[in-house]
Amino acid sequence: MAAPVCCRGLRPLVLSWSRELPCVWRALHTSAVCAKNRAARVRVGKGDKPVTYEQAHAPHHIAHRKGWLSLHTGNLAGEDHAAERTVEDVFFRKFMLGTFPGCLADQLVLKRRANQVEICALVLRQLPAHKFYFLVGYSETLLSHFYKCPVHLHLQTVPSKVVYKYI
Amino acid sequence: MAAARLHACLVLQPRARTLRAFSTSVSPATRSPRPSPSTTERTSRYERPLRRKALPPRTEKMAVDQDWPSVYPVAAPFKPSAVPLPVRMGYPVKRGVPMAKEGNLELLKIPNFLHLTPVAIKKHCEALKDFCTEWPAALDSDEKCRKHFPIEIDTAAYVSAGPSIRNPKARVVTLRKTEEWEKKKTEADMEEYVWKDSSSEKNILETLLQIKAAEKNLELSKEELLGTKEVEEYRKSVVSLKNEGDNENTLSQYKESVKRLLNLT
Repeated sequence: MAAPVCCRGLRPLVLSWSRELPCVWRALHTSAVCAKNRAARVRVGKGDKPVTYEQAHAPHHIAHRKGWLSLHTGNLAGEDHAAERTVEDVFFRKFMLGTFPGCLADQLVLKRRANQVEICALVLRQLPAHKFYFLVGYSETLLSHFYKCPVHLHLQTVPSKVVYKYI
Repeated sequence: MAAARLHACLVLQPRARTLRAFSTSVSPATRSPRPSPSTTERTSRYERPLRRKALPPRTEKMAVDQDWPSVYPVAAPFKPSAVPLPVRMGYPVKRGVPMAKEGNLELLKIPNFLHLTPVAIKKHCEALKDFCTEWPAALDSDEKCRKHFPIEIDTAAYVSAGPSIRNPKARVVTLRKTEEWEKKKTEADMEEYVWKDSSSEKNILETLLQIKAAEKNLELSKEELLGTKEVEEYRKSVVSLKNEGDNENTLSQYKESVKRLLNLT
């Protein structure tokens, strides 16, 4: 009889005492591994891996040998909404990747001029022309309605991916 | 079946005269026969005859003295099949040359001014001339302009990229004309209380200097006194009292600042 009573009395004391001990409640915080020195770099192979100009140059070559894939005023001094533009860019890239499966030869180039968006894409000739026309109209209409601004899609077809070098 | 396929091929041709055309680049590789079925597993038996070879680029049909503004009437991305220049762009590989314009992403990234050649600009000016009038000959100096049109209103428009065409900074409008009698504005005319050069400022400085003199502590000057934290707080509390009126918040702020100033806390 006395034992349960003192157990009931002891239990809350035991719990609060152990919470004050730092070693009992240590948690491990993990995030996905993303090393800066491996970002956007194609690892060197045996000399048989074809890479495009975009893939061959690492991020530290931006503004030296590479331009920017997305141009907008959000990152200028005194301008707002840079984050919104970036999120829109990510959506445009994912959308185009899914709408033209296996047809994109290289990364998209997104240009913003006033309130319109121009998507310049390099496509392979995987689909017949009428299918390309349909997809262009579909993408433009859907994206314009989604973002409430004019969206233009400019395609440039190439016979195959343009190889810069083999690594 | 064959007739239907042929008809579909012919139907494709007139589509080329739609408003948009793709810019295609043809390299010697494409002129070779179509890839064998083993390499293109994705194509079906019906699609293969429909995929015709890419047409030669438009640059081959361009005359030297063509009307360039009709090729690039508005700002448009670089189309290698429509620009007859042998442009190269890119960092070359060792013992190599910069990459050609076909499929060159670097040329697509940069803004181009192919729609703003001198000929095109001249055309724009000619078109705009109809909407312009001559500047009045009598207004030939700045003073005359200011005399006849004294009021100047400054508005600013901002251009930025984004779905919204609004920019809150564009709502600022400046009116730029001060009359002579505006300089005679006295303290009694002020709409809101300004602490600088006011009697409150003078009084507090005199009081503090007297206190310092009594303590034989004459090192601080007027500017230093004004710059101290306690005087700043006192200034803020007086300004808020005068502008916002008496309420609990402002009165308690004033009380605290005075106590801190006179070291009574």
